[in-house]
Amino acid sequence: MNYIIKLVVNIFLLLSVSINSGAQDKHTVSGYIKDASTGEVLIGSSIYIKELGKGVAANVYGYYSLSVESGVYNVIARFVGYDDWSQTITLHSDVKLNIELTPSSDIMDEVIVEAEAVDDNTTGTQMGEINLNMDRVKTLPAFMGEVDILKTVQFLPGVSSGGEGNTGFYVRGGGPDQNLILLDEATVYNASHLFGFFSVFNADAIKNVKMIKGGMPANYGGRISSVLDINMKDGNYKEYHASGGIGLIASRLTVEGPLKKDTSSFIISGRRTYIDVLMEPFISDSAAFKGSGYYFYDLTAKANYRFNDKNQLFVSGYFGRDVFDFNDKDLGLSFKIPWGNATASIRWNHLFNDKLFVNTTGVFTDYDFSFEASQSDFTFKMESGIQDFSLKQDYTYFANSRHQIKFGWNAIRHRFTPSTVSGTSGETSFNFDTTKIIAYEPSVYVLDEIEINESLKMNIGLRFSAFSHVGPFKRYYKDPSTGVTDSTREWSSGEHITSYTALEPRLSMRYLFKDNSSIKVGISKNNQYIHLASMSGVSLPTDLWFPSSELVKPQIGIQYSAGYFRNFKKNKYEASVEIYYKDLQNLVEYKENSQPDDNVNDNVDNQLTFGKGYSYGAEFFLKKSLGDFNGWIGYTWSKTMRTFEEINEGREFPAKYDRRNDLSIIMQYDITERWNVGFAFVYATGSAITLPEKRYYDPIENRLITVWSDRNAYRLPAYHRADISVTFKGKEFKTIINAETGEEEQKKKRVLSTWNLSVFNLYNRKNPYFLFFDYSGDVNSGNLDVGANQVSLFPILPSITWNFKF
Amino acid sequence: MKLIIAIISIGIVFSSCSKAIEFDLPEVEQDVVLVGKIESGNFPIVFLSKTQGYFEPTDAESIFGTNIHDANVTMNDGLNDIILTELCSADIPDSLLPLVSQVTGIPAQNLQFFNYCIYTSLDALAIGVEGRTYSLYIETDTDTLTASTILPMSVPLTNTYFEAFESLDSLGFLFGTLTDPPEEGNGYRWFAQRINTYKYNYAAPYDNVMGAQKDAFPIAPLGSVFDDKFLNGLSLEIEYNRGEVGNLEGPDDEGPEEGYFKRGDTVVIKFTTIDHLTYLHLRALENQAGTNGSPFASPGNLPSSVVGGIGLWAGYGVSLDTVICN
Repeated sequence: MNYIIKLVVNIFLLLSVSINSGAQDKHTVSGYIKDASTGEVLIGSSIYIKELGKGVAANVYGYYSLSVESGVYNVIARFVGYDDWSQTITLHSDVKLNIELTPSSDIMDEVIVEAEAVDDNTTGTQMGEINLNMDRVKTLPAFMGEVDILKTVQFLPGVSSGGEGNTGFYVRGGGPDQNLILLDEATVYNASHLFGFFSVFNADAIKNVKMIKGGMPANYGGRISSVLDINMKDGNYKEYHASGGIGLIASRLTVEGPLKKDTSSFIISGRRTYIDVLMEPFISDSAAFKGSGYYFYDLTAKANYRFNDKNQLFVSGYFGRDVFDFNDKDLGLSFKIPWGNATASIRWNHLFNDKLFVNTTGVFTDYDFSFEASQSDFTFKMESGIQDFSLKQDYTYFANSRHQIKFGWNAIRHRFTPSTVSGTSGETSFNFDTTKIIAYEPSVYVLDEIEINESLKMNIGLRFSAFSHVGPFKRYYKDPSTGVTDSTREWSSGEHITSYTALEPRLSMRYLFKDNSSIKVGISKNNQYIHLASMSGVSLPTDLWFPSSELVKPQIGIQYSAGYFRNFKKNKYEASVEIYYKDLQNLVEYKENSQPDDNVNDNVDNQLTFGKGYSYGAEFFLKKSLGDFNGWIGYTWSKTMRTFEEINEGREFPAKYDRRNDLSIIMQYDITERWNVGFAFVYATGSAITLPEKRYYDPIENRLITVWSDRNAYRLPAYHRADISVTFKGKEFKTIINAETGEEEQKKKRVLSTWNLSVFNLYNRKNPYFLFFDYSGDVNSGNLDVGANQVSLFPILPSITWNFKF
Repeated sequence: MKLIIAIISIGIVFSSCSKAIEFDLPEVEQDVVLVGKIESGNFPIVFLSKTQGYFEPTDAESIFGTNIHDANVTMNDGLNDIILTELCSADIPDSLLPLVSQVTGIPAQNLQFFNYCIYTSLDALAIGVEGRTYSLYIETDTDTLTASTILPMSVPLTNTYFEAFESLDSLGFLFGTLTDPPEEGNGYRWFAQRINTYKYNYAAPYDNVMGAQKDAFPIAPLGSVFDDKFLNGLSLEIEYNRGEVGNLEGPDDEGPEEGYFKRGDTVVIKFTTIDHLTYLHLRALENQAGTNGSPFASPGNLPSSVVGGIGLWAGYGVSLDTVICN
């Protein structure tokens, strides 16, 4: 390991030498780019020096630094949704330039922005990266009036949902555990509330969402398929504001403001659902279900303090909980499923000098769920969870206008509780072994974004990751035919059990043509050391997170991608075609016929089986970002296959979420300044499904036994639906009579209202949630019958939300 | 255990927005099915048939049409090879049908109406003995199958009794104390048979059951199968409700008496031991029966100990106990 670090450091030094040699009389202009009205830094903003044709993007903390020769320059700063800012500066020494951009009143006005629209589509090196503008997301049709980031992300090509009712999303054929979801640098393990109806992210508190689905750069790691990097707002530095909404399903409130003007701010955001409305469509009239209910709540809080120009501290936290209660008096049965995430992070931004910026973060993440059931004298409780402590540092070195270097390290300590079981039956309690699994996941990376010349830009990086499983741990060695434990082996606390290391090279390149189109190419290798295995075809809280071990090797993904990008009509239209091929190794599934109680008095990984897979596809994307009428069309053709020795007798089978065709059409139209209408249409090939193919009658048991087909050999009917939303903005100004002059004048209203009417599933399509098969009657009575049924979750669902801001 | 039922109940919640659909399945190759058991103190019973397409007709002719006749079946108990020959219910005199029903678990009137064929041997050597391993070797026209099972030592229950619920004057469950042997890997299955007769008639079509024995053969309720994973070496009390025969509704399987034993019943508890592979199959079978329609079960086929086909060849170590419900 030391050898590798030395190697990486040497590469870095070499690069810095080559960068600095030939440095003439250069000076640095640096600073932060912020929103003039709130003081929030603008992630993804950029500055540009017209005379030199050189520019740089601000980092995720809004900091930029550009080194050029002495001279007088016209500096332009820009960001989508804001008026351009420009200033002439004289650069004879290092200049500190903090810039404040004013939000555009006519956000998408064609005339104003036409001249130099942002062209990240063609010029950025990062392929498969999409930044979501939160203002835009809020006007899209929202499920039950709740704006949802995860739902929006699923409208993009290459990203598919698990179908209604399923948590998680799938990116380019990767499983739901292969997405790195970060909220202010803290990992979120389960980003969905009940059955994927809503994500845990309250859109009111979110500033920026970045999704990377193709070849993530070296500063990200630990997951194979994608990164969903979410940054919360910092809180208004200038004024106090509150905003929120009251809707049919949930209500939200966000309060933000300065603790010390322009120096320190805070933001607190909360949301809660109402039980009745959610459960009502699902509970039949029988009173036996009384006492059943469901609710969830989210709370996010953040504060920051800017000590001086060089130091700023952020503290943020998230706490959310789902509680599902079910009672059936007839059966004397009740159960309760609580689960949730809690995250806390402390971040310290520090500027060593104009060119070197570092962010140090300490994070705590906790995800847990439990399942409690009781029936008369019998109780049963199963808990599972994962707790992480991590410390990381990310450096950004703005070497010069051609090189932006990032390097850093990350150390995570995981504590897994795959299964803790306890139970009672009358007086007797059950015995069990509480296994906690401790693992460490350190990594170190370096990357350089190099502008080789005007046309060729490259992001090259190397990540070194490692994983170590340490004691205390007890390994059960079982006899497969009797299920008896042959022997066990124990390791004591801190004792080393097994380790894995990997070098993960990442490369992406962009070549820009004269006509402002570009091709991009990328290769990346990713290792993943923690995994999620699902016991059923439908995702449930019984899905367990667990780490690699002697039996479970790290998952490895290698992705090759290429794309052609082109903008039309002066960047009004963005278009792209991306193709990819992904090779996956060491995929994990439960063995067939596993049950939840198998994990007790046994190791989780004794119930697992391993395999490999591949996925390839082509994504077509056309987007109009400017003008009153905007939106996008995304179409993906893809194929995702798996091969497991112990499943389907080793024959290749499609992954459940193998979606041959996937189409999304999103449109928005600003009818007037106050009226906006949004429309969404999605179509996807049905999920792969295993069907009962054969049957036989067991005369000893007097039952009809189902024999299932090959795994995932059939398809559910296609999924498609349309949603519509209408947003009406209340007046911003009201007319008052000026007491002194007696004239009418416009005064800004204290409370701004927005009404949103959303209709989900406009033409009431009964999309299949799952199929179930049953047989009734008995052959001996002559009334045996076999039938297939389809269950759908969401019929047409209208909802109204009143959003306010003051 | 009953946990399975608990988890499955969620499935009930979703049945409110479902619709029946139809689809055609392509023709596929069918499997040979072996369903058989050997209990201590009893003759082996082997059924051979073939699977059919899931949506094939469900009348008796269609189902019984899959039976395989004229197969060569040999059983080995570790000592001797015993030939099992085909015996069909049509050839059995009516007076013996109740006994056959008791042993096979098939209702007597069905043995009368339909031609059930089993492979068995009435030789004394073929009677099941605890502790032995029984293997089958089967040859049909087109296939060869083998299977093996252990007939484990029986473990009797102690202190069995009936207790009525406080709120229900004469209805309740049965209880018994199990002392699990110290070694791991014990599997169990509970059966219960009410050998007393009906004292009155029920609503039509059960309006002439008075005087008939309540249960023709031992019945295992859902959740009857468990192993000693959570209770190895422990002594604990287990309780069971009254099960039903597959989808056959008896006179009191609907209404207030459903699932309960009644004061005045005389119940024979047949408590059996099974080996691990049998346990896995039956657990999956009960899971499939209980999840008839739930999305939360994975569509896995029942783990089969049969080589060359599918199904179950199970050995049961039997201990009997009679409880009079007071």
